[in-house]
Amino acid sequence: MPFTRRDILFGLGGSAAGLALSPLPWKLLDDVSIWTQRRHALPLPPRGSVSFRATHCTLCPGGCALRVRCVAERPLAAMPAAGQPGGAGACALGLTLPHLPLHPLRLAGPQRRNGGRPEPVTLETAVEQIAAATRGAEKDGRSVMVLDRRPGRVVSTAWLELLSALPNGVYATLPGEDATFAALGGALEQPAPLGVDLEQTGTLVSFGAPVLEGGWGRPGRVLAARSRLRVVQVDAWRSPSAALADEWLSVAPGAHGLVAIALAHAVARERGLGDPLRQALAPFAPERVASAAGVDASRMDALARSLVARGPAVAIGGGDPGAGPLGNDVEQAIALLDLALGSVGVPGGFVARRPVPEAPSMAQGATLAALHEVPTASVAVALVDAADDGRALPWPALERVLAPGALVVSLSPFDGVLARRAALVVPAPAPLEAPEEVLPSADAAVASWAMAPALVPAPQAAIDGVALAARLASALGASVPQATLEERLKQRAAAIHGAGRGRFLARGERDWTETAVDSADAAYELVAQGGTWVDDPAPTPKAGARVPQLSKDAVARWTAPSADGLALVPFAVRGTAGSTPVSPLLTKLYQESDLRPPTAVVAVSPATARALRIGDHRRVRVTSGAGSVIAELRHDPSLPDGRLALAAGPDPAALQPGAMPGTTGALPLAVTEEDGTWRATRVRVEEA
Amino acid sequence: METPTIEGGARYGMVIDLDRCNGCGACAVACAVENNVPPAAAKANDRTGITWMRVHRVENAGDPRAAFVPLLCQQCGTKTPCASVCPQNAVETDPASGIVAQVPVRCLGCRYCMAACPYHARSFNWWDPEWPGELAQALNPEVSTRTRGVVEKCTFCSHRLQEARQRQAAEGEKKAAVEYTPACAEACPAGAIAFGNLADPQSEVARLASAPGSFRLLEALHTGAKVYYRSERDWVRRAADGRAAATDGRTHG
Repeated sequence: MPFTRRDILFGLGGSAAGLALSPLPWKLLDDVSIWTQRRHALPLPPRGSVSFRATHCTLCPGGCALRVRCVAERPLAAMPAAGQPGGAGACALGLTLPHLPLHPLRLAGPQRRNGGRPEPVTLETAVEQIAAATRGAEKDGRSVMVLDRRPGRVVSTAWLELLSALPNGVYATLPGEDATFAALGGALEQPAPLGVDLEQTGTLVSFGAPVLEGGWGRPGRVLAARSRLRVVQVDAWRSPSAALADEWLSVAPGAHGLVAIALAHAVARERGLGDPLRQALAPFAPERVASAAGVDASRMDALARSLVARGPAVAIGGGDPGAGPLGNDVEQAIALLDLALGSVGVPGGFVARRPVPEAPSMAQGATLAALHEVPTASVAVALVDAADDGRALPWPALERVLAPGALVVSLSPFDGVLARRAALVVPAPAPLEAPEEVLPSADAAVASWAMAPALVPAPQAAIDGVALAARLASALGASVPQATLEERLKQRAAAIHGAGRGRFLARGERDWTETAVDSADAAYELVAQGGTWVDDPAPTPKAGARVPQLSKDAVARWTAPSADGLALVPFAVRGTAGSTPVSPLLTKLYQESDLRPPTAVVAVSPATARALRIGDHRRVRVTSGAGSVIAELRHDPSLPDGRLALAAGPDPAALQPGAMPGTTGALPLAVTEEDGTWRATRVRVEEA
Repeated sequence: METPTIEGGARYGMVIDLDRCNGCGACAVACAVENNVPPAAAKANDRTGITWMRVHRVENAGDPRAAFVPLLCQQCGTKTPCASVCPQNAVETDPASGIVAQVPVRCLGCRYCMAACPYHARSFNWWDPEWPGELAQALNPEVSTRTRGVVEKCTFCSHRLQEARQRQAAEGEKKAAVEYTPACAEACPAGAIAFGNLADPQSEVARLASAPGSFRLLEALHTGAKVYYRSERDWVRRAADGRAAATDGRTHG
């Protein structure tokens, strides 16, 4: 049988086919995939013994207890600590707390900015520059201001003592989540801090506060109470809390105050209340304000009836962390609603809590003011403290108070949003690098005091607020106590122990145990190990001694016809729009899933988009009186017409070293008002 | 392919209460921290990102309340689709725990498993993982990092199971079924995630899985998923099923 060329071809073909069916190709693929793996590019995780440390989250006023896993004494991961008194749990932000000391935007040393370019300086130079500017301010009759977004800490006391020693010191704060509580507390026979007896509350009416998404008070407490708590969300858009609430009352942007006072009128009518409350509420019948409020009068009447029937009901304000404060008048209106509901001093309502005891201090003489109350162009030196309340602060709100040529100093661990606006940046210890106090959250029914102890050493160049205040006082020749942060914390622990009330709870592996504490040192040690002090309940003074008052032009502002354009509805999750950058791992929520809208996406209703003649997913320019941003427009059927929703944070530029933040999101658009709000901002949208 | 089991072994499973979930995303972030999932690459999006656990929002016009559906590997118990198609045996089911594990060093990146997974619960590493700044110092030494070109997915935090077994062995006990909690269940502030041994009828998770209102996603496929969901609302149950099958969020990377 002759051997032909065809036989050779058959043989080769058969071999090729056989080879393809053999393990060889797979082996080759396997080997190639292994050879091309870039394992050398992978970082090696740290090695060492595993331990667990107790701490608290300090990224917002919630103060959630955390259990931190450390390897070789280096914190790696945080988890909520079970059984925390006042509600256990933590949000996504808190779980990334150990990332912050390692953050790419961590500052290594003091910097001076010349035309936006950072220039390293020594701490001595920085202190001398602040002292020189302070002396100059004294000569010019201008103010030296410290902006403290977490008042009540021992660091706050140190700032107050420094400012008291100056002839022109101003201690400025921002309205926080507890703004309604402050308004209502002022209406008591004896003004006192207030909390909520949430465990027995029947209905919670939230005016813009993100109660169901972990953005108000202690998140774990609200979620634990949720199954028996009816929640009514009053919002200008279908916010995450509105989407989770039992009822969403959609109101016109900026009409929160009008709705609150109309509800108060309806409740007072329902309950047959007499003077002086009825007199104050007389002009605000739901049928008279319905049109301006954007809510049917019948809907408000029905809600008022249900609040009376399903009580105790409490109404809270505070606003969205990205949309800023509601304003004093709105908070007063909500306080009026609470008085009409009779929810002060009853089980399930507002209850008084005593202030956390403090050590005696020399802090007397400084002017105390909310930032919007500080006169325009009056501040020559503005020092922004490192503590963050997790809420947005648009730069124009601070810029307004600055005199020409003012020195802005940022004490901050990070090269964050506000630090990049400052002329001088002094690095502070990052979270977990220095002990930090945890004061009661806005909702807390009783006072408490806990601490986030230092778990890792701070960089040598970092300086805490107490030490910086002391150095500034020394440079200015001012006489203030020279106690360190730790000494001040020990003094406060002694004051709490000396007050002789409440109980100390030590932190175990999975629980909290009441512990007898026989000395001030033991009290400090217990708290420094992650334990906590919890006060006894306090009697609530009688309410209604004074009726909260609205300013003369409040109603005129609320009922004024809208200007042209769309109403801007800014929003943010608590802690993502403040001056502390978020962990890069939060991109799991903002970039790699559709769970949370990023700052580069604006939403309008399909009808509004049709009126604008702009299609879905088109690139648009959004312009306001303050600035403009480029974003992608999305159609959102849940959004009422005539509104544009845009996240205020987190700013992706704030994750990139050297990038200038404030180019995306709602904050560059914010037009700040005299009352410190930026809720009346109108915007125009055009295709970019 | 049937899941091999051993006598006395566990069958770990999860029950997620959709009526409690508030969509905070703590589970997704805790999972990423625990399992060394890197932050998003600059070009990553919702199709190409690496999310072992992803939370979807679902709505219904007839209900004022939205719902959130956390989606993760459903840990199929029978006919595990990804294991059936993997040419590399890079997907393995532990007979002692029922956990469907991924072995990244065996994976050649063909992504057949991603095509086969009906729940779109797998992620492909399109880029070299990067931890900006000093963040690599916060990596978990119990979990290996993965390179570009391999597929990864939820493992029910199987390294925590190993730790629990080691602790148990150190205490002188030897049981296949030990108690442990994955990072997502530990992190959930709403208490929406229950985890435990489905094979133990006394366990909370077994009780919840068989309670009225509990269901599994894409039940018609008979994958024997070990992740159960719960909701009192009919539309949420239908929407969750639809969300799992939807191809707009994640298909094949």
